Amino acid sequence: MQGPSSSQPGRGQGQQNIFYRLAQGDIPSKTMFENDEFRAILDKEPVTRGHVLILPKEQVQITPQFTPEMNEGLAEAVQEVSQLLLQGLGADGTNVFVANGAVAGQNAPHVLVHVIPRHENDGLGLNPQPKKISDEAFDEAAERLQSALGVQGDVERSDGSSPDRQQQGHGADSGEDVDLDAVQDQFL
Amino acid sequence: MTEALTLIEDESVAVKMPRHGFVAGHLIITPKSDAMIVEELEQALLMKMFTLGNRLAGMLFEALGCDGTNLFIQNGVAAGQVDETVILHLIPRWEEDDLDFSWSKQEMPESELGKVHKQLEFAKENDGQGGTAALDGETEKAETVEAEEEDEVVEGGDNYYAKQFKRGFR
Repeated sequence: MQGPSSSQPGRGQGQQNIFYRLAQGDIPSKTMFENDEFRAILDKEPVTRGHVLILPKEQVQITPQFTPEMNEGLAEAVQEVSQLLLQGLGADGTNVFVANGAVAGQNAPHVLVHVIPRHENDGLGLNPQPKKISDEAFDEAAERLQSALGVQGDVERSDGSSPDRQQQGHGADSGEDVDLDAVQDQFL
Repeated sequence: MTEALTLIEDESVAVKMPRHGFVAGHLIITPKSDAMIVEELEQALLMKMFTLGNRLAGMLFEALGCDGTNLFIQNGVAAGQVDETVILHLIPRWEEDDLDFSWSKQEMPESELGKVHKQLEFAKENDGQGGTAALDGETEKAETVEAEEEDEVVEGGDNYYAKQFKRGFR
């Protein structure tokens, strides 16, 4: 369990981060669930009644920074909170929503995992509709992602690099420092 | 499930790019399980999905040159779920895309927040049952709960709610 932020070294930023302070318990909140990594509180400005924010106790801005422990803690927190909203409030469903980056809707320097209770015909605008992706856009995205992941697809690779990541190591040609080995080898 | 290109997969999960998506590069992370809602997933499997989602979210910035990402789960028909399996959506975002996840929020009075809190605390203490009883049926949701209780014997929260969700798919 974390101590108060004031005793944490290297956390000067956290002093100004209201969500960090909420997560740490420095600011009182209505806590619905808590584990070592996260605190889940009632949002004071809810989208719907019972809207919960799951806040990491660490100072973390975007979810790609999550440690394995945080991903584990998140799974537990999301299940517990969602179940609680379904059962405790009689919700018909829940949305789980995260925004990484301002263009995605992020407006705080801290990860906020929203869990939003939904009721049939609640009229909430959180209802994006899928559309047909053009073949051109689809193929381009597929090629870029297959290349980044080091997987061979039916899309020709234009840079002539070896598709055999066992020998070459994927991404070696581009110098990327993204830890994709972890995705491909450690988790799959 | 609409047609999709599988990018990576193993025995328990798959990462796919659907041809009908919110935007090009939209990925879906889906378990090879018949779990329909998040509550039915084994926690380790959900952790794996989040691990993949969060790592891939980092990868998208470079691979697609996007400016942000959204992670999104539609848990139940009322939440927009259309497939009969759990899906974690990973959506690359750009400045000028026409996606709209915006919502309106409103400050809730402390007294009402207190009611919600009380209701949920009651449900927790009573194994998820009858959260509204904490408020003596005063809330607007009391009717909903009564209606559900009339037509279904509550036996084991998970199965009960799974049935409710399945009903929505018919």
